[in-house]
Amino acid sequence: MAGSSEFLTVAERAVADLELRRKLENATGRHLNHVAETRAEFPRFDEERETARRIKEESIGRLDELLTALIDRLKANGCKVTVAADAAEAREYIVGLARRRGVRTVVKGKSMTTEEIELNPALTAAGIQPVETDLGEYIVQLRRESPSHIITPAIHLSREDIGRLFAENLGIAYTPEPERLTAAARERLRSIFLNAEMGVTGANFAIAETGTLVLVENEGNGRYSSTWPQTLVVLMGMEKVIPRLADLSHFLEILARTATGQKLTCYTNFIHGPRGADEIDGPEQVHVVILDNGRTRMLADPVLREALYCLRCGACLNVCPVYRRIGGHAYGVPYQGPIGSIVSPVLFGTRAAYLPFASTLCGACREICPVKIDIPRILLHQRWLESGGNHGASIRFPRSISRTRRALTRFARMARHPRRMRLLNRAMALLAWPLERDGYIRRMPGAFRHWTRTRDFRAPRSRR
Amino acid sequence: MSALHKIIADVRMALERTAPSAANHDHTAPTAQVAAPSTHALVAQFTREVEAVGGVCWGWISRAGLNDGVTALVRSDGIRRIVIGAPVTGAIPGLAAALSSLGAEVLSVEKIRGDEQRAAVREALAASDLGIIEADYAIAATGTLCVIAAAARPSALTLLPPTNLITIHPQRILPTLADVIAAIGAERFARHRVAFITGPSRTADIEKMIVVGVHGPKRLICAVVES
Repeated sequence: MAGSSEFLTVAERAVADLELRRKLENATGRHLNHVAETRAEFPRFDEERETARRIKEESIGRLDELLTALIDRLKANGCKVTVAADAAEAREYIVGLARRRGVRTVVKGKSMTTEEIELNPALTAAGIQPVETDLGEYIVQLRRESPSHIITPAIHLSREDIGRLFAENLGIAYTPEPERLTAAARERLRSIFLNAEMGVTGANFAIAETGTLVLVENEGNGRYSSTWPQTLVVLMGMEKVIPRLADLSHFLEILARTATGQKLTCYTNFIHGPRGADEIDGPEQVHVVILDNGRTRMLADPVLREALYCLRCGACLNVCPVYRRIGGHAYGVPYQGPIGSIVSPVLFGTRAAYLPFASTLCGACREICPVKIDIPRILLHQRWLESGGNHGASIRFPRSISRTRRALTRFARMARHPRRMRLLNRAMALLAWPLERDGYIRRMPGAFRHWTRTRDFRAPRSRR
Repeated sequence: MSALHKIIADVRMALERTAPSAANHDHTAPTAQVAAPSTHALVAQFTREVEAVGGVCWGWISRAGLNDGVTALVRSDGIRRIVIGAPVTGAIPGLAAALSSLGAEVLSVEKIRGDEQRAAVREALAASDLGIIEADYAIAATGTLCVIAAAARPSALTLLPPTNLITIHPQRILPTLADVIAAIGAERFARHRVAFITGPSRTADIEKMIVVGVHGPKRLICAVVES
């Protein structure tokens, strides 16, 4: 199947990288604790989730009306609005605009949509310098890597990694201390912010009633990018539109709580349009680019349509047992983890075709999703689509997986009989005894060696 | 057919709809009638929440108290350049004068006339140590300050200076986020840039460890003052 062997190779390498796993466990574990705390102190959390989901259902169900209303209001507010059918159109518009406006430097607020359309290489090719200003994005840009998490792009790096990176690239003395590293980035980026001619951001929500774009963040780089340069481009997926101003609070009450464990992010920015003639800051021109790039295809499928409710909070990545073991780069696409596995095949085609299979279907993502997207259901649907829409068709898996499936089928037959299981357990305990170290078997011989290449097997105990 | 119309048509086709629906969907559940919290309770809650997100709150103080507090701050931190935004409910009398008498350069922002003045104010903002402004509203539940930008109230005032002092009138501290959004209202959101500020800027991009003071201000001080 397209993409499968590449994904499996990269994933296996990632799983065997114990250092990467330690970093991921550390960071995702901390996130989950914060989320649990903030949810516990907010009794209305589940009620707000329900309301937010209903608003998304309505919004996606009326997307044509709402987009028309939004576009009319944005124009009335003085914005220039364009709709991009695909990534190429969006890139062309933005690069063309930058050229016409004589832009040399673009400061970018954190936007996964700009990763999706691969904007940075296009700007660079046109002789325009894009500078990522979100600290995590800035770090991965210096490393010439792509982000490995949709909201914490440098989650796969330790402070020592970042210390070395900054020492090499910013000419500062090596330090692994987050405070000093952040201060160095702040200083370096401030002068870039003050002189850039264009800012590019995404939008978390677009309110049709008022023609307002809402951008949430913690660092302040979104505010800089959307306030100081003379030109602002806001690139938004078409699914971001919500109907009324009064709808917004339901989303804001659950978004930061789930994404970072905060009640609200440090800044919630409301962008309505260009500055007034007597205003000191604010862009002269605001261009809103509304992106399709496969979203109408998702819309046309009643099961896939639910994926458009996503708030891009990143929580599903942090709870996913697969993501927590392999990290974001193994997915090979900008949207990773559970939500990435359902949208990437539509947005990026064959190179992401295998991703819906890279799941245990444990459902942790569905539990944590603030708008209750039934991700496992959509994963199964994607698998069905990938296998030609025929339930009975066999899917050609790589050989190692077929062998594992056969072995597990044989085991399942044994496991249905209590006496056979007891005998099997005793036999296993005897056989395992020479291989066991501290309660684990780290290397098994023969056909089982694939299992222990990336896993430690708990030694079986036979009950007397 | 323009690109815009084509996309909308695609969306409509995907949704299998032929005519726009007239249904109005109101998802706001009727809120149970609770007694509105007292101003004192809201101020107390607001103060707690500001401190919980790493800000400093001087609590409900008098105008004289504010002048004293700012003077002490300027002295202790060696602040040299201050920008003051236009007020909402009313100016704090004597504040600018008190600060100037300490030897600080004080710019009280006014409406600009022309590009040159704009450039000058922008330069002052970029070089400032302290930005002082009155917020339009505040949210008690989250310790958030809501600043609506206007001609003499640039957004950058609460972004560029490393220290911010934001005042709020006690009657303008509302219980929840939804209350403040409703109070600002659709028309103002359609015509003004608005920033909701919850604590000093921060990041957790390095190993998910919180670091305060990234691109926005590193220090946020609030005071509840009747002007």
